[in-house]
Amino acid sequence: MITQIFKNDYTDLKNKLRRIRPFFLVVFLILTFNFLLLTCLYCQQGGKFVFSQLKYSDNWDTRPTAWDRISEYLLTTTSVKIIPGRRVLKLSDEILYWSPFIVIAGNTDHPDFTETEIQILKRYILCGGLIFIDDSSGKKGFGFDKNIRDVIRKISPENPLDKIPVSDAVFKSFYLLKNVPGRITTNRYIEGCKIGERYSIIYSQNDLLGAWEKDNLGNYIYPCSEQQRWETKKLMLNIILYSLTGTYKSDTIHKSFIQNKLQ
Amino acid sequence: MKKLFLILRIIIFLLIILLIFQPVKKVYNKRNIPSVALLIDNSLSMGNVSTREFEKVKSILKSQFIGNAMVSPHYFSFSSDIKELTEKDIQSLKIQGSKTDILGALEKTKTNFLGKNLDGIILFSDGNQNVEKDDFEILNELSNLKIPVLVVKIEQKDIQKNISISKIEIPEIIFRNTNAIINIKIHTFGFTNKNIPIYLKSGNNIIQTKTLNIQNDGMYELAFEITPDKAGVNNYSIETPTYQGEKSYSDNIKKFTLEVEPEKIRILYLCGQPSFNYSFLRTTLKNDPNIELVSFIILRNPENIVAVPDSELSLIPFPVDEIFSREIFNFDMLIFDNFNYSRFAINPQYLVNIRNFVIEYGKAFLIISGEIPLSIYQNTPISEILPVNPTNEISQDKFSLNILKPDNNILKFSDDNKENISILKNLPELDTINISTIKEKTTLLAESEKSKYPVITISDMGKGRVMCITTPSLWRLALGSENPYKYVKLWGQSIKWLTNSSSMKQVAIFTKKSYNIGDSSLVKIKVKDEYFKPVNNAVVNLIITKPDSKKETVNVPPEIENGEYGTKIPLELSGTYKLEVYAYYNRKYLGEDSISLSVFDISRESEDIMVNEPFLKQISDKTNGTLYSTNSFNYNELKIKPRITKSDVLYEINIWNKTFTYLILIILLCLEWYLRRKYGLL
Repeated sequence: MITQIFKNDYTDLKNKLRRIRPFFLVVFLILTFNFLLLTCLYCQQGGKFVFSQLKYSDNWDTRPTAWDRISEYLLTTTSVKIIPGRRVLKLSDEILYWSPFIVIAGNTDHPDFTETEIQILKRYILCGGLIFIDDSSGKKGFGFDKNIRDVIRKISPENPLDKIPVSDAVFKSFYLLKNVPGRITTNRYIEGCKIGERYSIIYSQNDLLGAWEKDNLGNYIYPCSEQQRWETKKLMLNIILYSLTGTYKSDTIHKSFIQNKLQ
Repeated sequence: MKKLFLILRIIIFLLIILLIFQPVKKVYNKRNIPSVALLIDNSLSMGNVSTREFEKVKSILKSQFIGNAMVSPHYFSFSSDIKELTEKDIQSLKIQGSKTDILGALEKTKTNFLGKNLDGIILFSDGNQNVEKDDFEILNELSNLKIPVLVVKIEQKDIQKNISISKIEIPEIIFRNTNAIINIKIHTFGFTNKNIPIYLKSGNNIIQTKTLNIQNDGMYELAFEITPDKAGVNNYSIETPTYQGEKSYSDNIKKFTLEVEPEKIRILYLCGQPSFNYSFLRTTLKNDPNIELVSFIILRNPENIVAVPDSELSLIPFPVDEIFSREIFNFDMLIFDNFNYSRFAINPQYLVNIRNFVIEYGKAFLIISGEIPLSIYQNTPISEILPVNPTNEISQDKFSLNILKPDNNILKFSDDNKENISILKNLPELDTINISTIKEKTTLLAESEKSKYPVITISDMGKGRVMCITTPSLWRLALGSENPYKYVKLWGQSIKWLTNSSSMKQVAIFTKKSYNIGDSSLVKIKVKDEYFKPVNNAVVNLIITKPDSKKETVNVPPEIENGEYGTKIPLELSGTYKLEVYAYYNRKYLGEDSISLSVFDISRESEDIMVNEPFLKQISDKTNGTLYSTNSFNYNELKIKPRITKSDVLYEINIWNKTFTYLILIILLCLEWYLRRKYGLL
């Protein structure tokens, strides 16, 4: 009798386990994936460059493959050590504070940041972070441009946006650039907010990320002349190097060398 | 009758006018003989030339002043202090004073004679003023009081020819790359109409040469202007060639030391690759006004391919040879941030130079690893100055810092201990660590919490200091916090410790460090706030601990509107004086500093054996007096006339002080009234 009861219970348990096995499998896979993702995102950072992009609305990812191309180029051209994957983050994520360089890309209206998010961005730039904003809409004073300027005014009221002169370290952090390129030429300049001697916000309306975008067959998606694309890539690389070296190229020791080369 | 009334009224009117103006008739004391103060220098230096000269002074006093009806003499002897003498004391007067303060003696004479008659001062001295005085105002005061100082120098006849560097005056505070004037006093005898080169040397190298054109025997002054380019203790000497027949050759050279404060801390920062660690540290160092930063980052390695001509790149060649063979020694601190020396053709001697930079030159070295392991320095001279035993393992895990020395100034983020510990416990997480173990005599400030690997270590290495950071993620202290304060403070305090620099201190005390007894120390204190801006209205308390352990607290007043405070401390005892300064602003503690002074009891009287004629001449010239020698002086030939001064009033005739005057006035008024009434004129 006792044996029969035990046998029935065992069969029930076995059936139950069989029914919930796929659920465990899914949970296991999700946890493993999350662990691997988190490992990739958090670890091995040290002083390495990580390309972080802000996810702020549905239209945050206007140039999704740009970093793949930039990272290849950065690795072959410079001594910069990088974390290969793009880090996508929200302002509420703790990982923001592991990401000293964040990109805000856009081409249409985007929702206003809340007061808490503005405070987070304020703290972020005060503590040494650099925000690169790339507007690919090609429109001045409308949509993304209008909204982001309002946001910048709130983030950095004491240091408003100003044109970055071509003599600044941004334009000579790796390549020597004499003018401001872009996939589209919305402005003949890029702008920035300077805290101390370094720009903490750099704003371009020339679709610098768009110049890198390729489809799966390796063709550039967004058209522009080859020269223009090349110059745009150089500026993007300079901005990344600027985030890692600051005003290094404005140091006195470089001045005479750079002066000679520019002549 | 009318005439009588008119006369009466005129008399009354005149009396009233006189009453208003109160005229006084002064009767002066008539003096026929001048009152003269005779100051006799009886310091030991008066016997340097010959004791016969001092005896000669005494005989002058005896023959020309004692019993001389043409003068009213007041005798004083002086060395460090002044003492009044009677005529009897003069015969037994001996040379014995261990210091000479001629200016002090003149000052005290002026004070003693305040309100009394003094028509002149006669000073018998060798001019060897060796109590430091920078104020010559007394000479102007005597000149204004019309009291001439007639100076009688002792003769220096039998002396052998000689050139002697008598005195070197250096500024009390010298900053690197700032001009400093070095004043030299040179005494010459027997080299008339000769040009003598004077060298300013650093070690065996001649830095500057000046030519001394000798017209007459005596004291000459020269000034060298130098700009020290190295901070720390710099040794110099002033030298002249030696000439045959000189009395002494040893006094042709005089050495001196300048303690040069760095005006800015010069840091050389070499970084192996662009990184956030570099970016954050660079920004912090660049924002510090006390730091002058020169940095090099390796932007491209040989394996990197750049498809543009070199002219389109901002890269400059890394000047390996220039940096490691010469330039390095012009810096106070060297930073290696994940810098792999082996990728450059570095001469092994350069690594020796880096070791010497720390151990022998007393400079600072900060090494950061995490991307490049410290093991690359194994079996190199650099491994000798590393505070850790490195491995090539790099752990990429996240970790929290476990602070082992919360009291260490490098990790002090708050003056309140409890608050500081709370801050240290809540520091943001870091990641990536180069695994190592600490060496002996190394101070481990922080380790990784669970794995216990050293993260921040410091160590004294020879004369210098070394700090090792085994993670490249320290920037998280800025970005992972509410504000970058902790990160900036950590580096500020680290550099302060590494360079042992006063310019990084919020409160810094400056003064010369060695004195002779009886000198005064001119103390300067600089006060800055946490952002290194000068604070002008701080409360600055100076605690002086004297050699006898007695303490004295002085509130130091501000000097100029630049956060500078200053005071003078008389050094009356020989031994060590300890000065501690504490500064507060609005009750907020700004900082403290301390310094020790050595006060020696050395006989200065034998330091300079020559008669300081230029100094004595300066005294006589400035007070409208004359310079004589013991041979040429004859009081009876002098024409010192007694002066009549306001204080010489014997008595005053003042009729309005007397009742009689008022009685006459009342009587006259009554008389006029009476006569008018009598003759019916009222």
